[in-house]
Amino acid sequence: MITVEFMTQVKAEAGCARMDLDASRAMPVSSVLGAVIERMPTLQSLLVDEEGCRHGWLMVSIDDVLIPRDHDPEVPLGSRVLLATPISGG
Amino acid sequence: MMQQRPLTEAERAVYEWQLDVPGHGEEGQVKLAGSTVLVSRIGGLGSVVAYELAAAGVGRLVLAHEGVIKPSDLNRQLLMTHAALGTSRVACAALRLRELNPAMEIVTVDANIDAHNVTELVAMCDVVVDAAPLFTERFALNDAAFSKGIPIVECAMYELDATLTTQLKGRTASLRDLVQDVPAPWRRRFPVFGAVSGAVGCLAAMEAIKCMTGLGEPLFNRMLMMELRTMKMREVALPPVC
Repeated sequence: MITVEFMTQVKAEAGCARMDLDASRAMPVSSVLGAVIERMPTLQSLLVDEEGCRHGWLMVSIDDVLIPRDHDPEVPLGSRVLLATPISGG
Repeated sequence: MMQQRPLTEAERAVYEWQLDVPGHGEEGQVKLAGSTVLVSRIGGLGSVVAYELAAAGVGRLVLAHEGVIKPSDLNRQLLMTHAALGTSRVACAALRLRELNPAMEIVTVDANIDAHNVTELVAMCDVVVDAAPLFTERFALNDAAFSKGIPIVECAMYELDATLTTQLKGRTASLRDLVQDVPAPWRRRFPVFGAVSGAVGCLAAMEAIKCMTGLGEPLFNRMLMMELRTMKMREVALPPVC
């Protein structure tokens, strides 16, 4: 199991705060994004660009550690992946 | 930058409860009284930041926010009043702040941060608080703060979510390091309760106080991510200096 949590505009678009992925083994962040989009296609434009690459604005953390944009690390089973767009509300 | 001076007896009387805070004391209060903070926009977040800094005894505030007070400001911009609808936001804010702290110097700028004014305004300050609703303003302010080596508190909110981190050249990544692209769906108007901006504003003011006095540990290389809908708060580790 990998738990995907949503915040900010991702949560608003998803309409929920989390999703559990029934993964049997670790998978890279890009595959996690693909699995999320498969279940919630409306998130696609927020998460990835037209080529399917992660947007530069998307903040991804694994177990509360932010992942640099150009990294695609493996997400271990049992991890929590947080997806959020940066916000600027003042 | 202001010159530091000993506290007066009147100041000791006002701040005696916070002078008792371990690690702060008279030395910390003198630092606050000798410090200048730039608050970029005094809307929902910035109003509360400014009010808390005035209460804490900061020596000088620089308030930058263009325009006049609108009815839709009043659910969260706590320095604005119904009586002042249609008048300058910074002028109204200065009046309210002087009621609380008449000794504090206030510089009002009836303009938002932009490429023309940012260098001059940041150079006046010891700490910057970024509470602007547009990423273009945030990038301009963050770039200038990094250029001058001045700590900048980045606070933001959306709906019932909020984020807070403190950045400093040589110690942390910059805003541009963290946000490579502006999110396409970001809009100037966002859903928010005043209680959300107020909560985050208080925390941002505390970050600014820590930067001025050396008290505690600012949120360097950490982002506090708050979900007030569930009161879940998490700390996300950020990559260090890029």
